[in-house]
Amino acid sequence: MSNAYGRAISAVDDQRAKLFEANRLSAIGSMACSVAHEINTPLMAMDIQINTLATNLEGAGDRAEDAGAIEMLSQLSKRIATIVRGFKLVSYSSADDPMTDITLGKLVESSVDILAGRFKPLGVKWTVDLANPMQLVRCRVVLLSQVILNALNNSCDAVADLDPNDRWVRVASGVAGDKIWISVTDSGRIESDRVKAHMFEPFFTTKPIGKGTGLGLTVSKETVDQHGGRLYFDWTSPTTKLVIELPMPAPNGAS
Amino acid sequence: VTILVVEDDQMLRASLVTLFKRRGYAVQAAASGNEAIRILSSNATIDLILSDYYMPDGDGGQLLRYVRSIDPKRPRFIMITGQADTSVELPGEGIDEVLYKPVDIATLMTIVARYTTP
Repeated sequence: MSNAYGRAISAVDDQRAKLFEANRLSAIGSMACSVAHEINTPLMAMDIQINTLATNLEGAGDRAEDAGAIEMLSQLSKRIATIVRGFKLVSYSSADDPMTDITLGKLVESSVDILAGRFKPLGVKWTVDLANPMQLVRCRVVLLSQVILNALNNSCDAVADLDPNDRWVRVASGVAGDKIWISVTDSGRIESDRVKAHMFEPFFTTKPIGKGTGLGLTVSKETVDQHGGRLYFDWTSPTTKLVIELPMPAPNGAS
Repeated sequence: VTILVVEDDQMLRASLVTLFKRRGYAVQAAASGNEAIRILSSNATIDLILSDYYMPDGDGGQLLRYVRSIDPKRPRFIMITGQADTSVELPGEGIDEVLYKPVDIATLMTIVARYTTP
C-alpha cells in the first residue's frame, strides 16, 4: 500500500518538475531577444574601440587615446558580463539552488537589468524604488529571481497593449512588521472577476496562443510558498500590483 | 560632410563620434530624437543622420518623420537598431538604409560613404 502511495506521489512530483521545466524554457525563450538587444550595443562600441587601437598601432599612435579606448573596452565587457550573469538566473536549472542570503538590491536589480532589453523597445518606463536595498533576504536566488522576472515579463506583456505614453512598471520594496515585501506594479488593469479568480491556476492564461504557458504565476506562487512567504495581488491598488511577501530572516542567520 | 549621430547609449555614441572624426567627417551628436531635432532646427547643416531606433525622449521614427516633413530627400537617413528580431517593422518610408546592431565597421563605413559622396 505504502509503496503504491509512494509511487503515486513520485509520479505527481515528476509531473510537477516537468511543468516547472516547461515554464523555465518558455521564460528563456522570451528573454533571449531581450539579451541579444542589450548585448548588441556594447558589442558594436567594442568593435569601434578595437579598431581605434588597431589603427593607432599602425600609425604614430596617441597614448591618451589608447588609454581611453582600453578603459572603455573594459567597461563594455563588464556590461556584457553583467547581462550574461543575469541571463544565467533564468536559464539555470534550479536543482542546485541552495538557500542563500542576498540583499534585496542585488536580487531585484539583476532581474530588472535583464528586462531592460524588453522594456526599451516597447517604450516602457521603469523605476526601481527600494526603501531597503541592503535588507538581506534568505532565499533560493535562482528560483526567487525567476519569480521577479516572471512578474516583470507579465507586466511588460500587459502594458505593451496600452497607449505608448502610459506604459510603466514600478518595482518597490519595504518591510512591514516581520515581513519583507517586493511589489511589481504596472500601468495595466485587470478588471475581469473571472481572470482574478483563476489567475493562479495552472494553464490559465489571457495571453495569445504561443505567448504564455499559463504556468508563470502557478510556479511563482509555489516558489514563494516554499519560502514561507505569500504571493498575491493587491486589488486596492488602482493598477495591477503583484506583491511578493517573504519572512524576515532570523538576525543570527539561523533558519 | 557632416554626420549627425543619434544614439542614447553614451559609450556607443562616443565611439561612433570618434570613429567618424578619425575618418575625416565632421560630427554632431545627440542622445535622443528630441535633442537631434533641436540640433537640426538650430540651422545646423547635416548631410547624413545615423540614428538609433529605440530611444527614450523621441525615438528614431519620430526623428525621421520630423526630418522628412521638411525635406523628403535630405539629409540622408540611416536607421540603426539593436532589435535582434528582424521581423519587427520599422518605418520604411524615407529611410535610406536600415542596419542591425552590431554592424561591422567596414560595412558601416561603406554605407556611410555611399550616402555622403556627392
